[in-house]
Amino acid sequence: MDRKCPGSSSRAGSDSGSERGRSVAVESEDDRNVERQETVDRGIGRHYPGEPVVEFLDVRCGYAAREVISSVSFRIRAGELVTLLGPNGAGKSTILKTILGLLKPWGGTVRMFGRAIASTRDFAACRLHMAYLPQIQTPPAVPVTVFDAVLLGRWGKHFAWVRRPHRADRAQVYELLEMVGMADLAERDLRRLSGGQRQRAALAQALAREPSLLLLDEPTTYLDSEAKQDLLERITELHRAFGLTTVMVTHEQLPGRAFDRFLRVEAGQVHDLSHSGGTG
Amino acid sequence: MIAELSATLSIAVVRYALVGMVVAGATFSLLGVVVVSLHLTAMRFMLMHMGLLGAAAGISLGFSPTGGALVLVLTGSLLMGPLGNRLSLSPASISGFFMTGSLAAAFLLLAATGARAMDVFGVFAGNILMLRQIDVIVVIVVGIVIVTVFVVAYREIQLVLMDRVRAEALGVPVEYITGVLYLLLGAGIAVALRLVGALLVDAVILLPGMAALRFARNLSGALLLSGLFGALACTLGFFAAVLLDLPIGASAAAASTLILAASLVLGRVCGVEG
Repeated sequence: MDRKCPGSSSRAGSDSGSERGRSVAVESEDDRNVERQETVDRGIGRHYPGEPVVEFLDVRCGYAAREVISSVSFRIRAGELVTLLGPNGAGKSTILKTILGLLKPWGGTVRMFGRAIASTRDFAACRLHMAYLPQIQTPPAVPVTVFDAVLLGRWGKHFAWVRRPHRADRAQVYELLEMVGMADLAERDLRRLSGGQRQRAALAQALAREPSLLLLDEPTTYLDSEAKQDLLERITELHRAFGLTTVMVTHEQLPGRAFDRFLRVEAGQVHDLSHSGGTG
Repeated sequence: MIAELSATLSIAVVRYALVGMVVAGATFSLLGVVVVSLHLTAMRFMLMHMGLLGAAAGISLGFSPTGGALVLVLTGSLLMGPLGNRLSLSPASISGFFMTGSLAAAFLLLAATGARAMDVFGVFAGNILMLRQIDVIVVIVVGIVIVTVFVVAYREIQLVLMDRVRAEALGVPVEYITGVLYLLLGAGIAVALRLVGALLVDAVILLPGMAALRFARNLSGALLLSGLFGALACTLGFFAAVLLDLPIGASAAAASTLILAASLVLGRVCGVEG
């Protein structure tokens, strides 16, 4: 597997036509561990370890007339593996959907990749650098092979509409399937897989986007303990190998201490447990 | 038998019927895959009832009942997506709302104007042998549009049918795509109403898609098989009707039902279900 696949955008130059030519001003001279000449022409999604990737400042959001998160502020830095921990209905998925731009903030400021997000177009630009693994991997109603499902993860960034997938896209998909241990199931119908296998395919699909930010919504729900352990190990391995900024939502305390930070979400508020020394 | 077939096919309306049936079977049936995947079977009933209201309005108010039915079927398919999104209601809930409302409005209109209900239902009987050249051209144009949409937006449709939330997260314009699919379904149903009548629309649109989804391992396979089954059902139905002197629409529906039944049995026996 080419090490630039997931999280490739943490240092290298732009790989997207729409990103070329974007200049980001150098904000300060302080603790950036980078070379000055590399700090120009990075574009959205380009960041260095430690730089803020997601920033919420007094953000409010919800569904219809129901406010789910109120005055939430937190910051997630590049390369971190952060867990959003909290009971069902606390607002964890709402935070993820707000990051993704699927929900429009009612108030406050959302900054993504160092830029204030003001419009749907801003979210759309950021979305090219994010991958999302939804909460429940129910079998799809339509037949789709594992290979196709993973390939579709590259939609919008690597191909779309009349721009069809290239040989390189297909090669990348095979590499990802190898990485998650599903190469031999590439031509299998997704509907015929176990929950754990579908979840691994979904992880490969998310990585196929070559994201800078990986958002996982309850990825271990409904998995047995073995599949759960296997998936968590793969997520932490991927994070270690590629330094991919990862945000994982969960309602249960997960085994292992590989996570950099725990943010506890409760009644629409976020508390950073790393500062209080606990994990909830 | 061949002489009899040749003689029958030398009649223009019969040729129009054959072309219309086969083209509709091969192309409209692609929508069946969408209907099954997005659970839109209730929407088909809703559109039929809106057509009933349109026909009732035509008969009561003195304009073409067929035109009224077509306009309301297309309007209903256009409204489905935006209303569902605005009101956060599923297609099934929206369909239930419009289905009941249309039926109530149709009967109230008929009662108020003293029009005969049987005249309205006559519009939905369908008669393939009444097709004119322009009708066949409409069938071909709608068929070409359906196939073109599936070819151009194949990956995007695949994403929407697979997982709507993930498609949205990837930036796919899900609302537009579902809106276009609803509109195509409305157009397909509106045209099929004239071809085979309300009761047999499923023979052309739904059943081939259901049969195809039993076997296919991916969306392209499902679409190809659906088109094949649709064309086969219509061809078999047409020739059975000509040779055995049966109604064409009913024969095509019977052939389509037999293909679905065979797919259910074969899928179970051979273990090749998708």
